[in-house]
Amino acid sequence: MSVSAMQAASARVPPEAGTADDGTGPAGDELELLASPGMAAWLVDQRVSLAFGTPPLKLWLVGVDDDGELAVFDRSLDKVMGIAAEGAERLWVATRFELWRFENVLDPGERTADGQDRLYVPRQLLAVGDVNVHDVGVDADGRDLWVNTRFGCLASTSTSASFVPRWWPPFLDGPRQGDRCHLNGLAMRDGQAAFVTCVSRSTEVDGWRDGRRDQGCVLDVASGEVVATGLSMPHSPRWHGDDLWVANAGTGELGRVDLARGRFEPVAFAPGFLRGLSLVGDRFAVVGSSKPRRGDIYSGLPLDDVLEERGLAPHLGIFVVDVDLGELVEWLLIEGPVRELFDVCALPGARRPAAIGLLTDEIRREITFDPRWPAVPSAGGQHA
Amino acid sequence: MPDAVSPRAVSPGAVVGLLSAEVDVTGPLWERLAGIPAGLLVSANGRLWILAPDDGSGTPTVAERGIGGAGPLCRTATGVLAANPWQLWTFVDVAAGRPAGFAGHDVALVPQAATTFGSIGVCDVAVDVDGPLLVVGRFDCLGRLDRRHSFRPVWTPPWTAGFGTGDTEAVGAASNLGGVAVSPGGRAVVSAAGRSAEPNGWRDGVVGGGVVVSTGGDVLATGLTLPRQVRAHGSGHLVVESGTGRLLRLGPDGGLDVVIEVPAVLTGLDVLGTTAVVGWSAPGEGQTGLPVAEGPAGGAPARWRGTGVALIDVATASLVASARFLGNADPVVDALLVQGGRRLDLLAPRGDAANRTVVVGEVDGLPGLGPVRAHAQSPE
Repeated sequence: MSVSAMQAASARVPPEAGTADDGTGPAGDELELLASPGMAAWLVDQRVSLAFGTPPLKLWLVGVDDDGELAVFDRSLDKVMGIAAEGAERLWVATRFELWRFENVLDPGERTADGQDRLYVPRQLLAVGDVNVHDVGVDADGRDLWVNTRFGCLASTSTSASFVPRWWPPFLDGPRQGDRCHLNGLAMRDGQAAFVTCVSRSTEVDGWRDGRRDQGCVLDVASGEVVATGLSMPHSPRWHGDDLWVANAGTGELGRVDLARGRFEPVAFAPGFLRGLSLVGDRFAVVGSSKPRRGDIYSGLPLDDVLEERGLAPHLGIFVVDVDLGELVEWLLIEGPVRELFDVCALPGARRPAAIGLLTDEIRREITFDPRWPAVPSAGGQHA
Repeated sequence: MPDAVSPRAVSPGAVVGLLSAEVDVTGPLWERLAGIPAGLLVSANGRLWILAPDDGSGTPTVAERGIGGAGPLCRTATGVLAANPWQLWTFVDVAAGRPAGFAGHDVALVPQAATTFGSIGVCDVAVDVDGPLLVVGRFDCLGRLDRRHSFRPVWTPPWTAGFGTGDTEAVGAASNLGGVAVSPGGRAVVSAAGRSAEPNGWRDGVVGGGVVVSTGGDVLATGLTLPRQVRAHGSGHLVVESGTGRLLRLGPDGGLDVVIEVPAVLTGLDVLGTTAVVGWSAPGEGQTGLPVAEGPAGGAPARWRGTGVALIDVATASLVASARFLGNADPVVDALLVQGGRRLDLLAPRGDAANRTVVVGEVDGLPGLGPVRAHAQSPE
C-alpha cells in the first residue's frame, strides 16, 4: 500500500484527555497521529503496547482502551532516545542528558481510576551529561548498558561519574570525546551485549559522516569482528529467536544479518529513515521511521533515490512489518513539525500504559508503598 | 568548574545582592570557614546557597543554585545528598583525588542522580552502610529509598501502632519526627516533637513533649520542645531544640547540656570538628507559645530578625559568626559544612553547566570480556 493510500486509510487518534503534563499535548504541538484501521486490533492480538519518543519533547505510550480503541498517552521528556523494557515492571528511557528509570507501580490486575494497567513512575534520574545516548539495554544483572555515541563506547551509569566505559570497537583507541564512527545500536542477547552498529569505522572525529552511504557495519561485541558491512547508517540491531535484525536506515530497509555469509538480507522496505526496532512474537517487527530533510544527516542517502524512484514521501511514525510476508501491515503516522524517532519498544503484556509526568505536581502526589510491609512494631519499634 | 554560573565576589562583612535574596555576613565567618577549611551549603528560600571563603583569588563568594526546592542536606563519602520536596539528589565531588582541584574548585559537586519519592515530608537525611536513611515526616517513620515504590519504611516509633495501621492520608503527623543521626557504631538516633499516635497529636504537648530516642528503643532525652536535627558528635550527639533556640549536647550517659541559646527558632544542623552550623529564623505567627517566642520585650536584637545561619564553636560554647538573609526569606531548612571546600561549587541539577559537565569513570569491562578483546580483524 502506498503512503498516500496509508494516509487515506488512516484514522486520526486523539490523545487521552489531559495526558500532556505541560499543556502542550498533540494539539498544542500541532501533532496528529494517524493509525491504520487494524492497529488497535493488532496490539490486542499481540498483547503488547508500544513506547516511543519523538524529539524534541514527547514520549508516547500507545495501547488500547476497554472499547478496543487506540489509547495514546504522552509525556514531556527532553529528546527521547533509546528505550528499553526490563520485564513488565521497568522502563529505561534515555533523553538528551539523562537516563531515566521508570517503575510500574501497579500490581498485576490493578488499574488506575482511568483504566490504565501500567503506571510508570519516573523513579530515578541518572545524569550522564551530553554524551548522545542511543540504544539502551539492560544486562542479566539488571545493570544498564547503553551506547555512548559521543565517546564511541558502550557505557553504564556510575555512582561516582557520568558514566563508566564498558567496551569500545577495536578500531578505536579508546573512549574519547568526539563522535568518530557514530556507534549507535546495541543488540542484547541472553542478558549480554552481543552486537553493535556503527555508521563507519572512522577514527577521526566526525569522520563517520563521509561513510553514511555505504560504510556502515555490524560488530560482534565478544570478538570485535565485523559481521556485516557495506550498510548505510545501520541502526537498532536486535537479536530475536535465532536471528540478528538490523534497520539499514539509509536504504529504508529492515532485514536480517546472515552471520555465516556476513550479509545483510533485506526483508521489507518502509518509506523513511528506519531506526528503532522491536520484534513481537515470531512474525512481526515494529520499526520506527524518521523523515530525512535536504541537507541533514539523513539526506543524500540511497533512501532518497528509492523514494524518488517510487514517488514516495518519507514518513515519521512506526510501521508493523509482517516479516514472513515482508509487508507493512499496520502503521501509526505522526504528522506535524517533528521529524525524528529514535527508538520504539514493545511492552509485552501491557494493554493501556500510562506514565507520571515531571512538569506538574502529580510527580509529588504519586506516593506508593508495598502494602505487604509489616504493620506492627516490636517493643523498640521497627528497624529492618 | 567549566561553565558554572558565575557567583558574585563579596568582601567579609559586606551585604551581597543576589538574585533572590541578600546575605549579610557578621563576624569572622569567612575566616572560620577558611581555617577549617570548609565551604557552607545552606538550604533556604527554595534554593541551595553556596558560601565559600575563597573564589580562587582569596575573595569570599556567595552563590545560589536551584534544585527544585529547599530540603535537608547530608554529607556522604563521595559528596552530598540534597533533598527537595519530592526527590533526593546525589552530588558527587569530582575534584576529589585531584591535587589541582577541578576547574579551580577544591570541592566541585556535580549532580549525578536523583530519586523520586514524592511529597512524603522528608525532613532529615542520614547515611549508614545501607545508604540514605530518611526521616519521613508525613508517615512518622524512617525510610529507605526503594527501587519500585516511593520509599520503604524501616522504623516506626514504638508509641505508634506501626506503619500502615494509621490513616496514611491524614494531614498531620502524629509525632513530628524531626531529625536522625547515625552514630559511628551504626546506631540510629531520632528526634520527635511528641509521643502521640494521633494525627497532629504532637501539638498537644509541644512544650516539653519532645524526645530523642534510639531505634533500638532507648529514650535518650525527654522534656524537649520541638527537637529537630540530631548529629553524632564525639561520643554523644548535638541536638537542635527548635522551640527554645538552643543547641544541646546529649552525652553518652544521657546528660543534656546547653551549648548555646539564641533568640531565634533553630532548624538545620551540621558539625565538623568543633564548628557547628545552625539555621535560624525569627519566630513566626505559628510559633506563638513556644519559649523562643516569649523573649524580652521589644523582641530580639536586629541581627536575629529574619533568617540565616550561625557558626558556633562547640568547644567554647560560643557564637562565631552569623550570616543573615535580608528581605522576605523563608526559614533555613538545613545547612552543611563541606570539608575542604574553601573554593566550593555545586552545579544546579539539569542546568546547562551540569549537562555539559561529563565525568568519565574508570573503565569497567564487560563480564568475561574486558573493554576490548585483543583480536585480529577479519577480512571483509
